[in-house]
Amino acid sequence: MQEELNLVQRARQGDHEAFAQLYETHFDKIFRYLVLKIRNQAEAEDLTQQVFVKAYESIGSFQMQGVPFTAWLYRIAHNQMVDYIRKESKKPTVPLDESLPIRDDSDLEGEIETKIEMEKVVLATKQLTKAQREVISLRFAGGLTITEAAKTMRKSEGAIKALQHSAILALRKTLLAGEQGGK
Amino acid sequence: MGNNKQFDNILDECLERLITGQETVEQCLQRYPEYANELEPLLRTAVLMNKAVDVKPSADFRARARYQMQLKMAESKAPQRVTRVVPRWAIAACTAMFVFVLGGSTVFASAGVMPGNPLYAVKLAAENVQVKFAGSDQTRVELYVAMADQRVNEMVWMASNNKTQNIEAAAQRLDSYYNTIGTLPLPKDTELSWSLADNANQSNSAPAFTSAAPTTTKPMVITPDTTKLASGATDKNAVTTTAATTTNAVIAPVPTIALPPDTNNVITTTVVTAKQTANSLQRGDIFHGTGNQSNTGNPASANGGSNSNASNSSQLLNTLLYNSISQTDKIQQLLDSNNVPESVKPALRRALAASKIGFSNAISNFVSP
Repeated sequence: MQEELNLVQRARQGDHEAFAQLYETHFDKIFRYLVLKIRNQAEAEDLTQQVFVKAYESIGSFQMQGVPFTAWLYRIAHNQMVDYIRKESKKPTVPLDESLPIRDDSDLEGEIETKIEMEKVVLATKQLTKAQREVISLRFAGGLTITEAAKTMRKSEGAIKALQHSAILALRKTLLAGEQGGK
Repeated sequence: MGNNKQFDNILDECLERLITGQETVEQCLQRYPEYANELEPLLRTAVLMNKAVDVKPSADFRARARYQMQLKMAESKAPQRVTRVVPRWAIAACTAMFVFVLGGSTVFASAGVMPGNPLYAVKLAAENVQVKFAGSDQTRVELYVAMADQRVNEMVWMASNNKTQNIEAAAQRLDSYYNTIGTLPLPKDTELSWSLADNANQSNSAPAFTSAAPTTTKPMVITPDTTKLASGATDKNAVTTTAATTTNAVIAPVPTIALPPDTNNVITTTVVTAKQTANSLQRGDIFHGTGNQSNTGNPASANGGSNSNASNSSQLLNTLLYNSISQTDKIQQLLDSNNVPESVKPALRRALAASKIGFSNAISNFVSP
């Protein structure tokens, strides 16, 4: 944590190496967060790049005493995603099975299985409230702690835990209903 | 409510351990047997969720994104830092006061203001104003050279005072000054015929430039007895013009420069060390002018400073040569010093490279193609 603070401090002063380290630390997680949110790998890639460009351009104004860097970064990601959805809302939607990414390994059978699992889970997340979906994205895709998720969403840790609980419960019910419906 | 809160905490604790791979579902259930029935379906769902989101960006995208980020960083050089201590209007006001009320010379007199000081932005702004209002491009060159000197002195100060966070920014400014000099429409000195050889692949050496054979005028005269090395200097790369001994000095390979026919200068001060000679650095550690200025420092200032003979491109060239050597030596000495933290040295190496390459670009602007 202290190491990240030092990196952020150095990045604010224009240290490119420090920013590069922050980039490497958070790149995959931001990508996962955006994939889960928008369910389109190509668009998630573009948005991930935009998030880091935005972060780079704005890091000079980042307040060390304000929200944690992680929370700040995910707010940028969230805002980029909201802008994207706003722009894309009038365009035809991409079918889910063509939009989800395939894991980066060579096991085709495993890939398909994973893809199906992911489709089910992602479909299930559509049944969640916005706040529940955000908590799930931050916690599972972004790997944020409860504290970081709370700072990102400007809610108390207790509220995030409650949302997390209700979200997983709702997911479970939706997935069960899907299984029973499929039989 | 209390029970819900307690269960939320237990669920979160188990999730944290699951997500981070510290614990399996079974292990968590064993720790909380009283909640096992309620926990298990939730944890199984969480595992499924965790697996579903375990996607990684492709190697191709990752490489492409990293490259584009590097490009972005290179383009913008440094993130714009928002100065909250001194608002922009205050900087503008102070700058105006410095430049127009106290006079331009006062601005450079504020050299004591160092990076990190709230007034530093004023200092930079004032320098930029001076450049903007310079009467000629040749004066601009002199100002840029002086500003480069300031940045190097600041680097020395920052390294000595362990306030190293702004060294990179100073290095970038240094680079930009020389690059700008390289683009100014200066009158070419057709009598000076330099062939520049980029020594960039020798990372620890200056860009080498060699001179062409003499043509119509007198060759340069090397006067080793007037040259001096820094006192106590142990650095074989050090080239300075301040006090001490000449015992280790080796005269550089004599660059033969055709001087303008009307030049009656006494050429002085060409010193390099053995190591530099061994590296075949044909660096023209030269300035020519009157004998009085030979060992006293900057040839321009020795001759009355930036206002003297600014129209003479040879004089400008001398100023540039002298300052570049002085600057690279200062940075090199920092690099060689045991007192400078290792963490700062990458930035210093970049500063050194920027100074050398920038100088090479700038010097080429004086030379006829």
